[in-house]
Parts: sequence; structure tokens; C-alpha cells
Amino acid sequence: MSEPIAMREAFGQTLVALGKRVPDLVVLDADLAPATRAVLFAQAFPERFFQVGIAEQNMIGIAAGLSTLGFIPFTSTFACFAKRNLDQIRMVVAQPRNNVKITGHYSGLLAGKTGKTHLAIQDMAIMRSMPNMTVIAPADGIEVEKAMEALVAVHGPAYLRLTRDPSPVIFDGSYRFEIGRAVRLREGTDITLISTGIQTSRTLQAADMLNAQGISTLVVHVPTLKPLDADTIIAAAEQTGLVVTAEEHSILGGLGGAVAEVLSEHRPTPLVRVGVHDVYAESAPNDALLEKYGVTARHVAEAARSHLAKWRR
Amino acid sequence: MAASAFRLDNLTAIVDWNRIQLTDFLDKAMPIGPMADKWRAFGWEVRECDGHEVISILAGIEELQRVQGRPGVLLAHTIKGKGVSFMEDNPAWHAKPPNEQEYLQAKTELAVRR
Repeated sequence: MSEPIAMREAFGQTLVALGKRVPDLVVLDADLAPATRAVLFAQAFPERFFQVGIAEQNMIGIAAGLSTLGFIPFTSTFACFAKRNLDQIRMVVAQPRNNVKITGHYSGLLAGKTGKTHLAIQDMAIMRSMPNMTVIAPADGIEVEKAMEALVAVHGPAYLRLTRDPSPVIFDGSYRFEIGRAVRLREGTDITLISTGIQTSRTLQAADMLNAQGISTLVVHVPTLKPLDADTIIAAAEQTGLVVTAEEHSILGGLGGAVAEVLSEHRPTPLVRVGVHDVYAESAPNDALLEKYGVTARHVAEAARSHLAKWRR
Repeated sequence: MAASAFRLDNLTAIVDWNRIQLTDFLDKAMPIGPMADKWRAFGWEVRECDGHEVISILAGIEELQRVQGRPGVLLAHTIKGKGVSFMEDNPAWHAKPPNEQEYLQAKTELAVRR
């Protein structure tokens, strides 16, 4: 396994690599390029980098305009700010299907030191509610790179959710990412764990704990929240008959909500959603936040055990 | 802000300055302060014109397009509902469709003016 690489480093490096291949790729920043690592692109291609200041609404407007001229704009800011411009996103990106790739950095709880105002735990639910919007939450640096390559190759609006800290490596260079495709990371027969984004590393740890206790655990990673890979989710639910979703995000409207929608319509299956329970988080170190809001590997494993106990006795 | 920072002198904006919003006149609902000064503060070259006179509009645009190094905005003074006696300068008509009779009267008044 290679060294953990933070998603933001993968983001910056991939922007530069794509910039060399795709002359129409441009990047817009709202005063956070050093943190998001968009600065790497700014240094490599200063003429294709636009610093718009702390003006996220304007950033989306400019990006949408550039996209109508054939450019492929990536907008880059923190996830908490990537939705302060929802009206612009809806009106000039999503509704007219403009080719703007919105990236939300420092998402979830792993931004504790920036303070509670900066914790974005509703972003996937918000973006997922918009027609035409693709929503992707990669699990590690490799998947960030593959997802960005895939996003540049297709025309249309997208939201890419990234996290700040180095993420444990899950995929290697041979991984084939496909927009709208979920991947089975572990095979099992007793229970299915479904997760997205950075949470998938903790979900895999939970699966290891459960397997060590003799609970055969199937793990499905869902990098694309929208369009959702319903077939893979339904098949996994059929196989084990019990499902736990896990996400570093609100349990309302994100992965848990999406899986509940699909299963209740197509394959009713007892479901437990692990995630932030409709509250705002606090300012605290990251580990303390993961613990308090119940999204550590231990929490996922405990949720799976009690789910099994409830339905299999 | 960005338009002047990026020195977009090929950009011209036009404001349809009719002073009306849904609930009332702007000055009564929520005064927005000096329009021209606000654009100037953001680095725009400002001209004003009669928004009902094509010659006045064209002259304003031509002047603005000669300005180098910054974007231009034309503040077009207009009267909302102009030409229809019962709609003119009346916030009540901001978002209200006319009924059949009102529609026919408006059409007649506009035809007479032409």
C-alpha cells in the first residue's frame, strides 16, 4: 500500500495533470487556494486560474459563463462555503446543465480546528436534491484522481466532496472508477455495510472487527451519491437481508437517505443509518468529533451488531 | 468587483431602473441608496439614459464601449408599464396578469401610441 495522501493534495496534483492534457480546464478560487491545494494549478497555469475573492456567488456565475464558452471550470472552496451560493448553483449551473465542477473541501467533521461554523454535514443532501447534479464523495486520494478524470470526460454539473486530512489508502492505481457505480470492497453473508467518502475507511475497519467476531460482513462503497447505483445496493441488501449505512454527514438526505429511498421502494430491508443525527457539530479536535457524533469504526460495528441482534433473534 | 478587477472593458451592463419591486417602490420597501455611486465604488464607468428612447440607449452604450480598462454600466431610467395608463409606475402590476378586459384595453392604448 502506498502512503496516505490527503484528498486536497490529490486534488491539486490532479488539476495540474489534467491541466496539461485539457487546455480548456480552468480553476476558480474563493480565497482558499493554499488550503484546497488549487494553488498548485495556479502556479502551473496562472493564466487559467481565477482568484475571485471571497465571493462564492460570483465565482459560480463566472464559472457558468466560462463553461458556456467551452471551458471546463472547477470551482474550489470549502464545502461549508460551496453551498452559500445555492441560488446561483441552481439557476446557472444545475438548471441549464452547465459544465461546472464544484468542489467542496474540508467536508464533514474532519475540519474541527476550523470551528463549528466550517463543518459541512448537509452538503451532499443539498446537492443531491438538485436535478442534473452529479454528486461524488471519493474515499481516498486515488479515487479523487480517478473521479476528477471521469468528471472532466463528461459534460454536466457536478459536486465533488473532499476531506482535509490524509485518508487511509483503499484503492491502487489499477482501480477503475466509473461515475454512478458502487464497488463491493468485502464479500459477506450476514450483514451489509454501505458507506461513502472518507467514512469508507472506517467502515472497512468496522467490517474487520465484525469479521473477527465471526460476523460475515459485506461492504459496499458508494462514491457516487447521484446517480445512485441502485442495482448494486439492492443486490447487496438481498444477499444479507440487513443493511447499515455509514457517512460523515447528516443521516438526513445523504447516503442513508438515498439508500432508504431505494430499498424501501424496491427491496424493503431493515436499515440503520450511522451518521450525524440532525444536529450541528461543535468546535473540537477531529477525533473527538468523530467520537461524539458516533461515526468511528467502533460505532459502525456496534450499530451492525445491535441491528443483527434485533432482527436475527 | 471581479469585472473591474479583471479589467473587462468589453463588458457593458444595462440596469432597467424602474424603481419598483413586488411590495412597493424601492424607496418605500427598502431604499438601496445611490445607484450610480455604488457601481462607481465597484470600479465601473457609469452613464445614464432614457430607457424608453432607443437613441439615448445607443448613445450611452457607444460611450461606454469607448472606455478603456474597466467595465461600463448604463443606468436606464424607465417607467414600469409605460404606455398602459392603468399600469404605469404602479407596484400593483409588478407581477399581476391582466384580465381579458384589461388586456384588450392595454393593447388598444399601446396601438394608439404607435
